[in-house]
Amino acid sequence: MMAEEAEKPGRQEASAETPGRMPGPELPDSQLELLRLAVQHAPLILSVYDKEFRFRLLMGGALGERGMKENQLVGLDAREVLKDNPELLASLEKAKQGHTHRWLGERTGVYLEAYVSPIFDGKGEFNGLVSMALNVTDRVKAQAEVLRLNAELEAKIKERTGELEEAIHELEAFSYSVSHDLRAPLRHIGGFLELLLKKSAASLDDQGRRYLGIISDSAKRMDSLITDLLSFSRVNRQERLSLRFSMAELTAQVIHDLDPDLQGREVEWTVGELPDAVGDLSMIRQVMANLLANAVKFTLGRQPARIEIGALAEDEGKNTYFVRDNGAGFEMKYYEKLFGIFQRLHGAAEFEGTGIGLANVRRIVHRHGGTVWAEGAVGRGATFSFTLPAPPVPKPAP
Amino acid sequence: MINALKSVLLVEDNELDVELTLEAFKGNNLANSVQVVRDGEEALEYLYREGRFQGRPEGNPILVLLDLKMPKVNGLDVLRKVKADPDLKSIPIVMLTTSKEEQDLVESYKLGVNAYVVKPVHFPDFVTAISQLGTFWALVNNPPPGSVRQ
Repeated sequence: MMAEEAEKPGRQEASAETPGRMPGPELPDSQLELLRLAVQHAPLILSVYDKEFRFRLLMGGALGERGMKENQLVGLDAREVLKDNPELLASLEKAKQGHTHRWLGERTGVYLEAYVSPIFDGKGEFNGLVSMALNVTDRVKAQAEVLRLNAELEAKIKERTGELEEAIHELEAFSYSVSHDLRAPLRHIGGFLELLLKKSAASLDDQGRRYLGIISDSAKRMDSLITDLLSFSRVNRQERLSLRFSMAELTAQVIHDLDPDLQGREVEWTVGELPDAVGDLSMIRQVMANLLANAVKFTLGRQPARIEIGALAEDEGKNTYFVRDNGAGFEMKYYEKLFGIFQRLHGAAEFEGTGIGLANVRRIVHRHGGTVWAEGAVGRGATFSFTLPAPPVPKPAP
Repeated sequence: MINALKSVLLVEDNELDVELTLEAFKGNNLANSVQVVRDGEEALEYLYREGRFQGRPEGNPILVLLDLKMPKVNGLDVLRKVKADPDLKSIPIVMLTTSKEEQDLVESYKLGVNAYVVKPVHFPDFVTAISQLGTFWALVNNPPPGSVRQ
């Protein structure tokens, strides 16, 4: 393509450094003929001017498309011929100062790019100009299209970002309002129930007291749902730290914290070697706490309950950790629901819960660039796995 | 009653919360020392002895319990104004709020709040929290000079 030809930097720089000179030794006729043929077939317009800016030569394969004939302007003054193109004329004047000059302009819908260089005679005196013009319409149009598409894309990104920011802002306002406005009526239900029990319990029969108990339990449950909903929305809003931490230490702490829930239970813990990970310690603690609390919860009734925590070998900068139990398990056909918010695969009578834990686990792991998945079968336990970035391998000392 | 001198100022727009708070104060016999106002504007009128509190006797309450979210002038606005006033800034102010929103907590402490309490949803906890507050600020703590202790 001719545009590409013109883009070759060497040509322009070379002529800028060492302005073209008239060839010294005469060329043999055969080579002169070759040169003429080459110029006639090259997709360009080659013009040579004398030092008075009169056309001395006009050749090139692109003359036809401009409606011109070979050498049709020879002898005419370029200042006269090009008077409606002052920019190109200015390029000729500048090139006369000793350097190649580039001109890009549009004539009747066609974009032309011209390189004008001075010619010096054997004594180094200015002796005229040579200009090579190329049709670069396709290139200019493609560049304009690229610019237009970029601008369009940028405008779209700006628009979407704005929408997203607004949505986040609305979500924050929403959770703020949830935490305030839904809590107050709940507090009133609980408070006045308590007062009713204190002051009028004697005048209530058993059924009446049972109803009050149900109202009270429902209010408490709604409070825990609101608390969980807020913790879920906070996972997204919270700033995430990225530091190396010991998964082994974190796991030991979480197991220790679960002690009060294990009263009267027989649980066999197996903790394998757990490599360090990189991430937000408090968020990952939430992940581990959720998975281990689930394992404890769903192994209720197992004698003994077995819970194993381990890790697989590092792969592509990621560590894989897993928590395996011999508990109630789950049906793989409901897998899609497992990590959904407020989704539960077990009835409240069977196992308590709000259905927020695994939704939080997934959000946190995703925010760390990891993945989380599970395998299980009803009555045969479950295995939950997640990946986290592994710490960078330290460079060996030189 | 309006012009009687009370040692605790409760700023709370919700009727039911007022009732529950007063109920909780009965436990340490503070219920009768509580002056209730319904929003931040009234709270400022009370503290500055303006409007319908023009004629109240001089002296500052030994404790202000301030709800965060109120119509017109909210709790943070009242807090800002009081803590910026040399005559009022020594009055202990306890923020009472429904939930622990970090931005409110941070802002309150920046403005110089003396305590920040999230009203527990569970009523027995609520009673405990309120009566402990009353006991500490109204009975244990020595209020700044110029305060009114009944």
